[in-house]
Amino acid sequence: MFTYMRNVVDSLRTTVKGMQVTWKNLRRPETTVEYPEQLVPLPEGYRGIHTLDTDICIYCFQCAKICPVDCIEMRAERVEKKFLSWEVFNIDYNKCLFCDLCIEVCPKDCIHMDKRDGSAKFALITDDRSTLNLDILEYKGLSEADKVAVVKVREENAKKAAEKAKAAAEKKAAADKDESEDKKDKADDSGK
Amino acid sequence: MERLVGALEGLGESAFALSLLMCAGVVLGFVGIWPLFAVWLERKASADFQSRLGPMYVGGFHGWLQTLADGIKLAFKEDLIPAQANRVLFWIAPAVAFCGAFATMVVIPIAQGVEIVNLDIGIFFILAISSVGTIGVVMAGWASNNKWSLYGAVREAAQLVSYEIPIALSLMIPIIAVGNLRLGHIVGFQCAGPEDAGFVYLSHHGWLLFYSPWTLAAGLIYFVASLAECKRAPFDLPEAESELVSGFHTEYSGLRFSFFFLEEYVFMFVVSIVGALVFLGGWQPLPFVSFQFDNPLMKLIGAGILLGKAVFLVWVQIWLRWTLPRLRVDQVMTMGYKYLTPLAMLTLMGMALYQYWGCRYIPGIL
Ligand code: SF4
Ligand code: SF4
Repeated sequence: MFTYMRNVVDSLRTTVKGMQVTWKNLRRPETTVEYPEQLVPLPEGYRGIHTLDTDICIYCFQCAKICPVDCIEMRAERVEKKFLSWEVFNIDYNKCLFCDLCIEVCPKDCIHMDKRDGSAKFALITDDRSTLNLDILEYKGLSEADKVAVVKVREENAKKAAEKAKAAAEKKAAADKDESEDKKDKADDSGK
Repeated sequence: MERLVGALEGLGESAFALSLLMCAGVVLGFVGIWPLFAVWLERKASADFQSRLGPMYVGGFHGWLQTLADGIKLAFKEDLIPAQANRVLFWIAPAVAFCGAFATMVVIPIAQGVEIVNLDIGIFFILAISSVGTIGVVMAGWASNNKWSLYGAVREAAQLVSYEIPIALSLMIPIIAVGNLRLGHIVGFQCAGPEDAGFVYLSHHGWLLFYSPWTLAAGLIYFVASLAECKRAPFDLPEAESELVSGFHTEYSGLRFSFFFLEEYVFMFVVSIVGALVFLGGWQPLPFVSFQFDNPLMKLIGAGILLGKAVFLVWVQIWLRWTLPRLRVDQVMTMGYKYLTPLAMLTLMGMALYQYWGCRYIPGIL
């Protein structure tokens, strides 16, 4: 009889206690955010998509060298013979391990995987894997002058490449011509 | 059949049929809209209890249209019937389960004198008709030809049959005080006042919950047993999703599945509003101070208060659901047979003696 009454009292007491706990949780503010509309505040040192501070980067290529999966593709060009400017700085996130080595090795501490204001990008969801090869320069956003320089360099390169291709084609065409003439000659010879 | 229907009876057969159809339409409309709100409330409340946000997107304000979107999605889903199922039973089971919850609505007064049928056995009718839902659930479990469904159905049958005893006994206790089974009269008893009462007056009895210690205990027993009656946690064994794969509706999909869902939420509302009417003074906002609810405007306000109380009780059910873990089968049976039933009997006896020796007036008996 005593156990019986104690069970009744216990069940009431524990239920009320449990409801108090949930009530406390009810009053606590939400810990989740509406993700696509609101960005999640990320802790410092979070490993997301890289950002490059092009102003202090010294173009030492250390990051590309240390990368264990060789996913950093970088190329720098001299602009107007005075300063180096990045032409290509791509990171292929199909390969990247987020191992943090490129960040640690950087002598100028200018490549990061967390944006220091906590707005690091981390969503890599896509239905096209080729889009995962990100251009870090564009991604971060260069200063206006740098952007102009990069565009200029790229245009020049494209022109150069086109000229090269053209020259090669001409050369090839010339070679082909020579060859065919040779053949003709040979044919003539054999005909004689 | 008195009030609403009775007034139209004199107009002939067609008018009578029309009025019946109208009443059915009103109930059906409410039954369609209420779960939309209740499911949204449940989602938001559970999110709050877990420090989440819950639905936020559909419809703009806090995802209030989310349930409608889900309902439309359910309606367009493929309606699968297992090859080995008993097709006829499988088809009609959701309808039977739904009717049980649906039919109870006709005797519920929403404000003073506003009810579809003023049955003199109101509470008895609700208790009797709500058991029809059990038959629907058992039919569903049996017809699915699935062991989980069958387990769910058997659990449902065992649980509902055993909890019907304490729920009926606990509803008997206020009836001893009132001496009438009409729901309207039970509310009338709680707000009965002096003959020459003005707009605001001190009622003789107050809410039945505070009428005597026995009715207070009865209220608690009713609430616990009603949780079991509408298969809510911690008594949600028939549809235990983690152990029985949703129990009796494992095999149901699409619109038929949504009927079971509607039934559950409508039944939650029914037990809550009956609790509000019987124990919490119906449309009277305060325990011992009553107001005159006789003109249309006041009736509208009264209906709002009653609905508010019902929603509050539903919210408490949700609160409990997100607080307590599910009980084991033997614990549910122990609770029903060893605790609630004897306690309800004791309370009933106590209340009877209280009424006999106490100086309270029992209308209709003394
Ligand atoms: S994080 Fe590691 S894998 Fe990714 S780019 Fe840097 S060094 Fe390479
Ligand atoms: S290691 Fe740092 S400074 Fe060197 S190229 Fe990479 S980012 Fe620039």
